[in-house]
Amino acid sequence: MHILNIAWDHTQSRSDFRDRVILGPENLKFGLSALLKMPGAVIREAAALMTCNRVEWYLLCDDTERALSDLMEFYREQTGFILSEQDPRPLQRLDSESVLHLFRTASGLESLMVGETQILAQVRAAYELLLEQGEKSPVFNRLFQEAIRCGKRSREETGISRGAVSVSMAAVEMSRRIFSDLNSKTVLLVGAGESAELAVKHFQTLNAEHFLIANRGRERGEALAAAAGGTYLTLDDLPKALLVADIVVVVTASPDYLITAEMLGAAMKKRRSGSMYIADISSPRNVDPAAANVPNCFLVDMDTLDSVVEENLSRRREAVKEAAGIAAEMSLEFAAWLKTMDILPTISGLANYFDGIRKQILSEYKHKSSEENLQTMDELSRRIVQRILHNPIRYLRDQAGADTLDHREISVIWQIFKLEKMLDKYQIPKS
Amino acid sequence: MLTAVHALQVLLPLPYILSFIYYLRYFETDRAAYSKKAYLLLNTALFLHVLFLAVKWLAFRQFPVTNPAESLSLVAGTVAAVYVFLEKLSGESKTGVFFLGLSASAQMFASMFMPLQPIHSELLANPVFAVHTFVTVTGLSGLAVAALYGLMYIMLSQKLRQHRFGHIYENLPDLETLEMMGRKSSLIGLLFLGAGIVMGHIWAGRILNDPFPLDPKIIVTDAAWILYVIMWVVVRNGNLRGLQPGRWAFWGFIAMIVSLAAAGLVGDSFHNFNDMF
Repeated sequence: MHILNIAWDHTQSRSDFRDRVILGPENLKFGLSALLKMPGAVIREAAALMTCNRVEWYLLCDDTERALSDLMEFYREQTGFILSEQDPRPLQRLDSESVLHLFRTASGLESLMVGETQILAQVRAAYELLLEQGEKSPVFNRLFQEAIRCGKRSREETGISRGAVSVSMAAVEMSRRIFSDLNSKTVLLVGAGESAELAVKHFQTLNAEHFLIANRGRERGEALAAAAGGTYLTLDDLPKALLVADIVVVVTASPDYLITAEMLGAAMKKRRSGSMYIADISSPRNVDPAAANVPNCFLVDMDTLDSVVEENLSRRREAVKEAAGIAAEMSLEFAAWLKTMDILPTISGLANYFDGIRKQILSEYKHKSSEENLQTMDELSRRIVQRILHNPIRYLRDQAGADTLDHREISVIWQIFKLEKMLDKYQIPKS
Repeated sequence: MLTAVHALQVLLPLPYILSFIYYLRYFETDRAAYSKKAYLLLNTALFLHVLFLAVKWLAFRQFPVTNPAESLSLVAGTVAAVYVFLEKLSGESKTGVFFLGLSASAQMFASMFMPLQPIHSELLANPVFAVHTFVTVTGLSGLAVAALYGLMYIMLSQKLRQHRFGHIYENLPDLETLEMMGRKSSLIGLLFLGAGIVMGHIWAGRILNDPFPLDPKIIVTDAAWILYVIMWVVVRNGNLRGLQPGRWAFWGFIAMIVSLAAAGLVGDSFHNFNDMF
């Protein structure tokens, strides 16, 4: 039994190629089931992780060559895609490498921007899809659960995802050092270009809802205001807007100061309440640096935000080793668990053997005892069987997990209890 | 009973110290599991503290504030109690390290230097006076907590202004939360201290036939409380936010403590209980 990872990612393929092999959620759901039903059924479990940077298949199979050719056959049949000589060869990882790769991916270690958080949600989506396909996937169920846990742990225990790594995100995040709840705050954006749009999106992810968009060009300003669910203002309205705004992000190409220290001072005096956070991410600056001296005003500019981003990136780089350690540790734990899967038929056989004896004896008393007594005996016998089997099963799991299980011991168990018959009777797979 | 008192006296610093350690780890790592443990240990510490006060009160038939060590222990407990109330109210645990640092060290010193057999005071044997003492100390602790929040606000706002984004910047809660917690602890302080002062005047009227004796400590406390109330009203009605209330809370408390210390040095105080009885 092997875990095979077949992948095209940003390291070896272009996005236009990946667009040809990526499947939408509905096709993917169908595809996962279809792969398990391919003639010969060499693939036992299948899962896929598809993002804009990676198309990855995880296949649990006995024969890796056949599994790969089944996948290619599936692509040919379902999408018409045939891997040509010019196309990038898929990356192939096997067993522990596949597991480690998934854990590293979930931790954000394989992402273009190290530590990005979106990938964890995408791994979770892949797991949900695995559950939705309806086929039993005990190994991949556990694999993806552990991958999600690994992603969470890496982010919680290391600084891999801490701190903003873009100027606009840093500008938005810094507002959270001043305000606890952005939902009740008014955000004034001066400018309506791409950076302003990005800032609106970042603020919206932090629950901000009240936007004022001040822009020289009416059309663009109104468009962004409509997209943000806010109000459009002209630049002449700025003094009035400063009376109500809690957060101001200035991002225009204007060569002059649009907000002066005097304007801010007057506004702060009139409103007499609350702090104001101003992020000037324009170049040249659009907010008078003297505004930093206005009481309760917190002004940051591009230089400051650049240094914050650089500092965050360097911290993330430092955390890579630590996060990689967590991924490695958890992949070893998973490997230990996977080994115990090999002895599952033995455990199931033993459990069924003793349960069979229990049920057989109970059935002999079916007409000799009251319903109440039968229930008591059923409960009693179940507990006795559980107690009897507890130590042997634990021994088998521990030995298998530690890779010290002698197969002769398994053979003896099978002979003593005639488990071959039990497997046939209860249709337990033999390997 | 005495064995229980001594056992609790020795045991009491432990949950405070452990809670401080967990709050510190939470402050450093941001892992929620640490804050949960810290909160649990803090509640354990408070439970043991209440038990300690009750057992000691029963054992010696007087409220245990007869010496500086016992008073320090009461301060440790009330600061922790005010903080735990604020944490419950706001769900914010990042500032716990500062208050538990204070409580843990205060309780440690108190336990180390607390005499096993305190001197007897008739005044402190009276339950009304005990309540007056407890309420007043809680009020002062509330104002101390508010002062510390004020200091945190000043520090964080300075870091933001100077663009020095270090450890404190990253781990303290946002300014708005610090301000809210400071406001609430000020209110707790004002209410408790006000209640303590009123009870004190009633008590003075009964035993001295003068509800307003010319005692420097009482005068300073009354004046400080009135000033605090005025500041509170100005902040509330003037809708003052930001740095100003933080500064007032911090410097107001420092001024009050310095004045109380000076009053203690300058004149004979009614609060010198040993001379009274």
